[in-house]
Amino acid sequence: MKLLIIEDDSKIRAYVEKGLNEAGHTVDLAEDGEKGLHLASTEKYDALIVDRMLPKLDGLSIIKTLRGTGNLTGVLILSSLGDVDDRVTGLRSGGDDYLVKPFAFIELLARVEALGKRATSPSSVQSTILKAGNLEMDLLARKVRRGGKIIELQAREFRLLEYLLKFKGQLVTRTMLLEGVWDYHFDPQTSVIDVHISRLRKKLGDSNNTLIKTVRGAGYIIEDSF
Amino acid sequence: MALLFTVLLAVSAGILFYSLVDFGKQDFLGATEAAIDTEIRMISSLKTSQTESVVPYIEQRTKDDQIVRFRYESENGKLIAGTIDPMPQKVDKIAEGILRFDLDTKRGQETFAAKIHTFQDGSRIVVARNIHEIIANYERLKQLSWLIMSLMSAVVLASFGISHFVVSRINRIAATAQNIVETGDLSQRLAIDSRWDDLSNLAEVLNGFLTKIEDLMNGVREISNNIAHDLRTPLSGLRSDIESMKGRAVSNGDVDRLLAEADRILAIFHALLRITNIEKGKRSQSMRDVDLGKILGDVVDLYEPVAEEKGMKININAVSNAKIRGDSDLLFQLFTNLIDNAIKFSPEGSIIRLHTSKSRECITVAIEDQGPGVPDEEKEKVFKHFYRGDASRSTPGNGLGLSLVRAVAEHHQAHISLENADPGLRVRVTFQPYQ
Repeated sequence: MKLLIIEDDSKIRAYVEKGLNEAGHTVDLAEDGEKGLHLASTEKYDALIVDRMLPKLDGLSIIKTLRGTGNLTGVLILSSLGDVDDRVTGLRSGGDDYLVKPFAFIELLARVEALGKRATSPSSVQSTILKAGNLEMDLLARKVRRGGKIIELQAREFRLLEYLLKFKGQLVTRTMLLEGVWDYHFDPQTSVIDVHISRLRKKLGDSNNTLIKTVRGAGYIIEDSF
Repeated sequence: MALLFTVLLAVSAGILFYSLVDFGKQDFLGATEAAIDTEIRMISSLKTSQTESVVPYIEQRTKDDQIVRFRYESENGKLIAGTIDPMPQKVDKIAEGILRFDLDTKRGQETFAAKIHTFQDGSRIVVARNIHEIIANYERLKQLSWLIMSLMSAVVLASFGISHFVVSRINRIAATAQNIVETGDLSQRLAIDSRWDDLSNLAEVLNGFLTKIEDLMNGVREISNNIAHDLRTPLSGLRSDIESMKGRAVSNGDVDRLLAEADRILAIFHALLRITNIEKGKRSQSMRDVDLGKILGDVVDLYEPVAEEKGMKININAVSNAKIRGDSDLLFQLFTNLIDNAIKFSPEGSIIRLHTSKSRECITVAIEDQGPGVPDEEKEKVFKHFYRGDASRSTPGNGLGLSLVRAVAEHHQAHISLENADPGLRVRVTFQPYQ
């Protein structure tokens, strides 16, 4: 993917750039708001990573300007302002996702890749059948089959699997799951998500964690072909 | 200040009294003297023109006007005309050229003021005017003046007393406040000597204010102390782990462990910031009407598998339409923290009950477990930042879960109480319903 990072903190900029390069992405950098807006509106990117507080032009203004000109590139907002209100203002101004500093790089990577994925497969052409290996999920009939055998899932388990399959081949972090499947912004005390995943695995007959793989210290992934 | 105020008051009282008395005197003498002088001038002019018209004039005037009386006498003191006969024995002098004596009237003895004028031929005229009314008025005025004066004196004295009292108290309050500012010692209190006056009220309010500030300061001090203390442990753990890696190949597992440790420290900061923000009430704009039943359902949905792993069950009993004004994310956090605790501290195979009840005044959510409960003396302490009861020392957690719960509850004006469920703990959260 081709990505743009607009961030004034050189340390974070370099660290994110290095990580994204290693993950196989092309990265452009901008250290202030004006340069960032210029790049974002002249080049074509798969996703933008925008810091909120920037010299010359702040992050939210960049996003508003871009959205105003019809640019719909996915935007991940980076900010040290982590309140729900801050998050809401960020998302309202046109951001697609919000990540609070300090963050784990893997979380950023997972979210940026999810944004890029969303850009390449718009919701209008999204199929109602999700597949991975011998697992098949029919979103309309709300049926899950593995190797032709129907598996009964509860509503929440269904949504969990749906989320993982939508981003198949990509890491999905625990917070992404909490936000995407449970719709609440909160800090879980114990690893509740892990329990839900292990339950789902059991139902899917995924005894050696080959279908839903655990990425240590980060989250889960359903590989494209397992 | 007190003295200046009193002196000003006293001076104004004095001026008022003097002008009252002086005004009365002037009026009473001036008007009467002028009337008498007019009579004398009239008679003098009559006398210089025609002698014989004086007597009829006097008789005419005496008849017309009851207030004025005359005595027209010859050089040797023989009465020619007039009703003053004989001259009274007792004659006083009021002022220069003005006499005063009593005469009989229809209403008994009354006081008259008089002037004597001697004509060139040696005859004399005595013109007297009844000043009984005027004197009576004057006396009344004088009494009134005295009354006012004594009242004023009382006011002066009282004001001196009060202002002295007030000013000295204010000075004492100021001195105490100054002392607190200089020493920073918030344990000092203002002296309260009585209960009835406004200043004591003020002092009491200010003392309450000081107590609140002292509590808050102590709270802040305690928290920063605890933060320093509670972060030192994981930080020194992190440090020793890093140190142990010195000079040897570092594996991915090592890095993961270090990251997890750093994340734990960051999570503590995150939780603290979150509590502070909630306590600040910064998020009040995200309050909307939410259904507690739905939130509780979602919490149970999230935690049921966790409970089942420990062989526990969550029984939920919800009421319909439990609407309150609130922030669903925060409320979700509140109940997950409580359920999380319940699961953490309850024995395997036990049951957690979630009971909602609704009345006109309140909506109550009770969460009941079969764990060890919280001893009475710890019931208040468990809400403090970083406090960990004996029962929780061996379990994972950062000691901020219930602090967050309380902050969220207070943010929603909800009351939270811990009760013994015998066995176990019942946490009761009482909300005001949203109309």
